Amino acid sequence: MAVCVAVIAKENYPLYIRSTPTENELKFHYMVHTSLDVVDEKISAMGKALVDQRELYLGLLYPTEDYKVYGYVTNSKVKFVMVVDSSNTALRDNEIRSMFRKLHNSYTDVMCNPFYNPGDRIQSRFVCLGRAFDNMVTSMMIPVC
Amino acid sequence: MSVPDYMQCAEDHQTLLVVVQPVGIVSEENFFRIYKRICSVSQISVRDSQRVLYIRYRHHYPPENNEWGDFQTHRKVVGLITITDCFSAKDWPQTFEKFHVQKEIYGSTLYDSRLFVFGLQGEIAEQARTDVAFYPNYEDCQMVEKRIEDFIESLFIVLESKRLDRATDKSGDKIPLLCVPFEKKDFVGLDTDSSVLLGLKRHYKKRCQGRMRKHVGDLCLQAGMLQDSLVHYHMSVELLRSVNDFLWLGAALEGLCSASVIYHYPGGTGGKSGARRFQGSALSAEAANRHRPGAQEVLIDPGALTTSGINPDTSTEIGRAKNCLSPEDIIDKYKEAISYYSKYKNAGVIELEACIKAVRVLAIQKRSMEASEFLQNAVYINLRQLSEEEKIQRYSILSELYELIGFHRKSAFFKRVAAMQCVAPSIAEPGWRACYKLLLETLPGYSLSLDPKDFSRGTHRGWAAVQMRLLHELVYASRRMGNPALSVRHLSFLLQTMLDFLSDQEKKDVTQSLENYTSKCPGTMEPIALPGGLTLPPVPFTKLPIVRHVKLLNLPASLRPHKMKSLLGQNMSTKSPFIYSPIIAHNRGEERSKKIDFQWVQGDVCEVQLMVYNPMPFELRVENMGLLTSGVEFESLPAALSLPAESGLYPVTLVGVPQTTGTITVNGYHTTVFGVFSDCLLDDLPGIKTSGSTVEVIPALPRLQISTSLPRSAHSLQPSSGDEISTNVSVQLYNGESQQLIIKLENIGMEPLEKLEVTSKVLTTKEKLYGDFLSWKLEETLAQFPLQPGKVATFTINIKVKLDFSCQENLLQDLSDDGISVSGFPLSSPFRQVVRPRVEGKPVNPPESSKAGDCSHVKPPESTRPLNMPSSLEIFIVPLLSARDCHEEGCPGRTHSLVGEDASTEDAHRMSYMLCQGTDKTLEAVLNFKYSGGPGHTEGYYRNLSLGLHVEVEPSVFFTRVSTLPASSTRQCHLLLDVFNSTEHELTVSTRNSEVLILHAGECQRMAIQVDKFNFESFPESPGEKGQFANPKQLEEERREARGLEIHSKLGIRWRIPSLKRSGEASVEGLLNQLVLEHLQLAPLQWDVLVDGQPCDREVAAACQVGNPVRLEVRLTNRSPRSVGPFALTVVPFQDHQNGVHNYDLHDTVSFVGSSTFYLDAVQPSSQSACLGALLFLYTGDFFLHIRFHEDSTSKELPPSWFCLPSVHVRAVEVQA
Repeated sequence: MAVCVAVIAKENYPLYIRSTPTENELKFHYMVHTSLDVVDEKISAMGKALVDQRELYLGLLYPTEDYKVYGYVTNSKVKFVMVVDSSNTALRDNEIRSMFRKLHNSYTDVMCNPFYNPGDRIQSRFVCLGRAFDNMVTSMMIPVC
Repeated sequence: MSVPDYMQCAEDHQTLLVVVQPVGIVSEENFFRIYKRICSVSQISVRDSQRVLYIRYRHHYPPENNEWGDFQTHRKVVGLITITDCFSAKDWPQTFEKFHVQKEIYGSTLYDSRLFVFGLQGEIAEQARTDVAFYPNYEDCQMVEKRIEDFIESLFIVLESKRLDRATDKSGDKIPLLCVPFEKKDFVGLDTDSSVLLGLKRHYKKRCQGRMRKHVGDLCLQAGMLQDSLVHYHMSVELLRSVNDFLWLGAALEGLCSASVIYHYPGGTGGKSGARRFQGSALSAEAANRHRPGAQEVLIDPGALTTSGINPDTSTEIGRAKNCLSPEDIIDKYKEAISYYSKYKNAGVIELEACIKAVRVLAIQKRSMEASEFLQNAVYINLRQLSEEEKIQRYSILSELYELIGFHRKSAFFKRVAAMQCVAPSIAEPGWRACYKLLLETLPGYSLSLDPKDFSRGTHRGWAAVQMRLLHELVYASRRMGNPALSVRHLSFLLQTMLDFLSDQEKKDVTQSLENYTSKCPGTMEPIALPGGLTLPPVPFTKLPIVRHVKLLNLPASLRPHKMKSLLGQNMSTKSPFIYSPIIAHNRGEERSKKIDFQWVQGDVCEVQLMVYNPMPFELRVENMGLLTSGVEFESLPAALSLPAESGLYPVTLVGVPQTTGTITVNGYHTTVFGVFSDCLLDDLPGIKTSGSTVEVIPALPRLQISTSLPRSAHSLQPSSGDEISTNVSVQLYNGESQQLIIKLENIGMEPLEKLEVTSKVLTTKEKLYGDFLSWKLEETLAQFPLQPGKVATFTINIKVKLDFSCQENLLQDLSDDGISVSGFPLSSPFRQVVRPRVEGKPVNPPESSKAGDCSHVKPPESTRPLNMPSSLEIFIVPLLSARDCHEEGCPGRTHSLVGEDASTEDAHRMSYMLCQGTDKTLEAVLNFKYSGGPGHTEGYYRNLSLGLHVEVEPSVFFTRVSTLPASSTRQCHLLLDVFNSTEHELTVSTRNSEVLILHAGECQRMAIQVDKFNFESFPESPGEKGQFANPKQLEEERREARGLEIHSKLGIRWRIPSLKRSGEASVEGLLNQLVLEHLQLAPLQWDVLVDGQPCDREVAAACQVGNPVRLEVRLTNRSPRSVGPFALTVVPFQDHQNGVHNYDLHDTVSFVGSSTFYLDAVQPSSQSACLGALLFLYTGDFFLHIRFHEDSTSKELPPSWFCLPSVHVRAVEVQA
């Protein structure tokens, strides 16, 4: 399953980022950060398409030796980036797609929370705010056997 | 081939490679000067054709790359230019030898070579050689360019011949197989001629043909025949595809791509020099017609191709209208080529370069996504073990390429990797400087600017984790570079901008290292200029501490300057001629929003209050915190503070002294935190609250300090007083006591004190205050002025407390309610007694009121009787009071004594009760000292120092009752006062002309004072004049006060407490009601009765002889403002039997000479009238004459008290013989 999940604001700074091998977190920061180039490129290429017809799922952004980076962008230009172990060949595009959709729904829940200030980091230490989101991300990170 | 050329681009395929190298010792500067000139000749239009030759110069080229020259001819070194210094002829052979050695290196591929010799002159230089050029020095070599052109032309000739040779090679059956270096060993021993298998042979032949075709294509491209090359490439592709010669197929495809790119993008893909681009655009015009003469030439001559013998099928190719690939095809073909290359491990460099070339093409096509895929591929191409330098180069170029396709983050990533590579542990001499430089270049990629101003607006929006990492690296690199100032700046920036993202531990670590750095090199506010042209702006620590609120404080009340009224008015008038104008009001509003409406004074300490808090998890030491100001010379007095960890809002007061006058603006503050100096400007602080930062500084004023003889008081006056009191003093006084307050005025400022004005304000109190509470004489003090700095003057104030001496108002009310004395009649007239029915009418008369009343109307019936004769009183009172009252009173004669005896014990009880309720009364006053001097005075400013005075007034004596008794004379009366000593000490009371009355503590005694009646009308009515518009009530009040004062001064009642040696006045002012006043007042009609020419107003009886007529004169002086009269008077004589019986039946004993009735004419104001009569006493005896008015209308209009005639007592005696 996913090794890193990131939510990136419209202005391209992280709202949430979590990775399972916590010891090398910065590596994933760099990975997600550089993937934004591709996201930007894809978004600008999509720009002409009508909003309602737009596909939110961006697909594979780029592969690295060990990981695959997938992207998803909401209509409000909030980006979701997911890093998946490339050895996990069982994971198909459809599953990635559904994972993103789940992520999107959870994010929508966070946004609906009146105590959440759009643009703030989603922090799991606030029970009512980030906890549910965090739990959902955790569930996506647990490898399904 | 192992060294990739990362700078390669597609159009390089059409270039001829020329290596320019120095031989011997040539200074780098000289070499590159010539090299540059050589490079300027990068393209040549070949004469008598429109073809263009492109030259690629290299000053360094690995010979092993040259071995791939057959594979792609642009890799082949075809020309060599050698530059050398040679100063003497004897060196020449050696030099020439070196040139030959150099030629040997690339010998196999060279078409031609040149040697440029500098410095050699003479015989050798004279000889004309094509391959050697002599120049006297590096300056004098104008012919270099021409030489190069010639050289290139010679290269072209060789190239053209080779091309034609290959293209028209008709040997057919024997085409050599072109190989790449690593293939050579594969084909060793392969006997192509004696191959057993025909298929293999044919296969081999095709391979040879295909490779040769490709080679010819390359040559055509180099020779400027684009279309030809396309044709050849196409044919080659088909040939090689059929034999699965993938490496060469890739090369052919790439050649096809290159030619197409050159065709489509004449501007070039490498982004090289502008000259080339210009040339390119010239070419593009040509390319537009798509019929380049050179190409056409070939196409028209198909025989040249068909007869080539390489492939008979070429004729099919000629028919194609477009051999050129479309832009989309180019990429496809590149992809294909790269996929073929990737099959060969040894062709890694070729593959890498192809990727780079494709990326550049895609960058021009703005197809970033595909370009990124090519780049991604390039990243994974594993070459042999690269040297560190190559790695750096590789990462840098990747970064550049990513930048080219707009992937700034990726670019920054690789640049950072390159930077890290510069200082890899395996490198013996880490290039920290290069690392730092590369790191700086990554900043835009991480959207990080090093200007803290970009971060001050709102919250930080950026990828904090990676930015922080980068900043840490910058800090480290700059430190290793040996530039501590730079690392301090970066670290400060990290701390300032990333504070929200640092964990507590990180905060500690960062500050720790910052302190370490600053111990060697303190952080400054100077911008740091970097060699690359970048300037690092200073980083003020606006978050250490965070300032939330800035407030300029007014001076303390005692030091606040005030504008003199008159001058203020002038100022107002100069501003605008209008009293009100909406426009001006608007402007003022704006002004006010910036400028604070108080002033600071030059030379006086001013304060600014900041509310700060410490966001750090440890104690924050802020040193040297002071104000930054402009407009006025300002001496800031810095403060040091220590804020506890994560403190809440903490007030900090920064002080300073303005040295000049004008308008001062507080722009910000400066601090030193962790050894970093910061100037924090308020404008740059987000979310700061300030109520204006501009204030006016007025010229210096003196400072006055007050010390008094009285102790300071803990009492503070009511806040409602409005003034802010700097000092409070308090004193305890007995009511009526006076005390002197000595005030020492000291000038503690720097300016002379020139003016002083003292005013006082008694704070509103419900107590009625009589007389002057505070009085002073300023003249003596002012005589000591101007007061120089440090000098002291004294000033004396008299405090006199004179509160109401009546114990309570309601008591007096009771007295007046009584009504007994309302009529105010002299009770000698028994007729008048019936006028007061109210006493009887009252159902329950409070005992005290009746008691009070019973003295007020008492009059001794006989003027001869002294006042202290109670018996006579008793007789008189009884009939006046109801039986009940009388009973309750008990016997008045027993309980009441007049003077010197106790008033009723009941009274004393009541008094003590009342005293318990409100013993101490306080008086508060504010003394305002307005003073000025020095330059501030000339500007019209003054200061106001307020001294609060708190006086606790303890009761001394009380007058519990007051009443009057008519004296025997109509011009006099007795004032009866019950005096109560409310102190705990023995007290004496004295009046002006009476003996001393001793009162024990809590004792109440009655005293009687004989006073002359007052003629109030004669007073100048000054208060009345003043209050012309005051209502009559006030007027009356004022008149009453004036009367009270008059009475008070006449009485001069004083008390003394011998044990405490304190004394004071006792005033009756407060207790004189209308009734008593009327009694004390002299009636405006003054009646004088003269018996035998003697005024008869005494207790003494007038003596007269029996039988002799006695002259009786009644004289009226009118002092009232109106005319009175006429009056009719009847004299009624009677005899008092002293037992209550009056004998009026005296017809036989007294006879009148003339009429017993007198008539007085109307008397004008201030005139006199008299009437005369005579009496004849027939017997001896004591007679009284009662002069009675005839009641008529006129007399009724006037108050009855005006008709107060003295009674006449005549003693008729026998005539002595």
